[in-house]
Amino acid sequence: MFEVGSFRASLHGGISRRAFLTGAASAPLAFGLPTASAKEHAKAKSVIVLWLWGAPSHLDTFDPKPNAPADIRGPFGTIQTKTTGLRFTELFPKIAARSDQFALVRSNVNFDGDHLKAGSIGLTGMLEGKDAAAPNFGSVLARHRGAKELPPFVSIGRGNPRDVVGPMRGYGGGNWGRNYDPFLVGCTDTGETDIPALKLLDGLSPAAIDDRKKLLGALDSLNKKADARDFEKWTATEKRAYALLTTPEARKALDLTQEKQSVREAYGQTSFGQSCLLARRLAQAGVPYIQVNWSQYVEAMTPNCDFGWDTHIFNFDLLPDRHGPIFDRVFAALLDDLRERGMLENTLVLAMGEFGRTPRINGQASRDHWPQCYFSMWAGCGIRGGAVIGDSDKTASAPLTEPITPGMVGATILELAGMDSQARAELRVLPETRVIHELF
Amino acid sequence: MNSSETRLTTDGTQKFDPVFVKNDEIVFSVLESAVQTRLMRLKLGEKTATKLHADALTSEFEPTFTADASTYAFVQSKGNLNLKLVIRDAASGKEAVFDPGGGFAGVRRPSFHPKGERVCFGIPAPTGQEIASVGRDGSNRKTLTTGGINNWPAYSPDGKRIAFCSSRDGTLALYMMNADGTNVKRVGKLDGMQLRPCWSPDGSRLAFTWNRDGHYDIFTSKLDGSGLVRVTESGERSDYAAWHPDGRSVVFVGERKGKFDLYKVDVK
Repeated sequence: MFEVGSFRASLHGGISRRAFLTGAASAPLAFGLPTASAKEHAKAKSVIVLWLWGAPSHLDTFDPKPNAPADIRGPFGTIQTKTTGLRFTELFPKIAARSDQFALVRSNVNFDGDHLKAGSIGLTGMLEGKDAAAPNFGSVLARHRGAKELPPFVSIGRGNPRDVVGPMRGYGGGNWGRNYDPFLVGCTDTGETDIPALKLLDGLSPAAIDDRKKLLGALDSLNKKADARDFEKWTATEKRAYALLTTPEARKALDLTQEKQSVREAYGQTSFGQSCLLARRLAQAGVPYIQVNWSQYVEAMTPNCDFGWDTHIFNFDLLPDRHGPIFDRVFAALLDDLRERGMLENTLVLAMGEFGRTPRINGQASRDHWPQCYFSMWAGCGIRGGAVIGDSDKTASAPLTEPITPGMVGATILELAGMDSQARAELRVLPETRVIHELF
Repeated sequence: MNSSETRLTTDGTQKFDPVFVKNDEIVFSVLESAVQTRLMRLKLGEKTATKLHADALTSEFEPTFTADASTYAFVQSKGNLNLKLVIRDAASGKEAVFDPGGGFAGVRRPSFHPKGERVCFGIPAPTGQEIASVGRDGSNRKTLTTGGINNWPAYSPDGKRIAFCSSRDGTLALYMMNADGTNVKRVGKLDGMQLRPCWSPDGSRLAFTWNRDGHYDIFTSKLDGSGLVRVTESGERSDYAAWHPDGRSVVFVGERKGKFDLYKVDVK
């Protein structure tokens, strides 16, 4: 059904029209569908993407198959959610209790089983060209909205997503250049923020700066020390970082100590938890697109890696031990927080990885890569809470319904953020790919 | 919250796997940075934990000690999804290693025989995840289970039995077997995942984590599953129980207001 090769992007001098189609052409419902429903909800001031890097098992999370044989269903029980007939594994009780607040897609597909390639596809909607990289959805929106006082695209994490082999190309501006890269902010488990682009500034950090005057003094001092030619070498990202700390709104947003203690506690003392709180603050401050990376590395248990979801081994130990409880708490807290502030009306929340994991348990009592079927979770901006979009077969091996492609994910994000097909066409990004209208 | 809960640490950092070394000392692992888990030692009554291996450069976790604390074992992250079992003499620092092989391979959740005869652990296999054991020199591997996901083995205080959890009958539940893998019996029949059994010092009861109603809480029961007692009830996660050698309390990791600390709670 999906001829991956036919969608290969040729990005020399632009992105090919064929690449834009990204699966849509093979979908019977791809064209001619009314998009008014999505346009009606095109009011996302901000988009928050929770990037579950490393790829969570769909069977052990939000698409369990309790009636499948043991070597497929795994060792976890299932629980009823707030949505009649919808069950999750027992690792996600808080999210189950909030299933009426988000839509679940169970028919996502990707076109590559390699993390780096699938990650790029998942975050750009397009396959990688040999010498080219497509822009991240956040970069597209950043270009559409334009730069203002706050960075238009912020990525929260220890660094841009990668694995032990190398970086993922779809993290940022791609062939559009570094001006469209995300503004990277780190966030520790205690909520201390860190801006890598400021490393040049002699250890300056948001926490170290308590007022504008002090900041400007520090920058003046740095100016005197530094060679002017060094400043000229700074990239736009570094210059934006430099400017950011002179913006009171941005510094306030980055300072989690200004948050109520009870709210900080709700997210929990984990890096992912405090990062999601930071994402909410950035959305509140007006940042259009925030991507929270679960981890920088995909690897789950590897020296110098930060516990990604790539559980080729000990999947059934890591999930109940660490990944499940953390994601359950944080996603629930984010939904609660946005709802209580009235922000779900104009904030789109999307949680997803780059693919799923093998339905059949592997020879290491765990699960490997599975791009043929996985899940995504959508909330806010009029998305129907409690909706289940698509269905997978009895072993969660393949969608029984129309596959939801990364291009469709991107088109939906951008449409909701105010980029209709014409606006996307002007930037030559996913103009003809259909929006996931079933979400509304 | 159980009114007898006493908070032993206050930093809130993610913690795991506390075990008693002596009456007044706990060894546990802590997520020291985003990329490294470290073994820590805490004397009861003291506020500050110290590093067990100050020079460790890679993640170490899941410590287990012999009854006399002369030898201990732990898991060490050595490569990409590759975890080795290290067995160390406490006095000399001399190490033996059980290396399950290259590539994606490893052991988890070791438990030292109280007299130091063997170390058992969970290890992936084509048949599922099995409980296996090796001698204190890391050799002479024996597989004790067959089929299902088997994990969290714990030697009884007399070393004759092993409590563990298994999915052999469906979902993860408590089981018991002889130390040689024979005479497997299920302990009670509870709905909801059960994890991490540990023994009372007199060998008459088990403490374990039960995902009963959406929270991980600590419970105890007799060895046949009867006499179930709820130990924690905070509305947040309580996990990783370790029974105090005096038998009167359990130390565990409590997630309270989003922070992860060691707590001690009285048990009957």
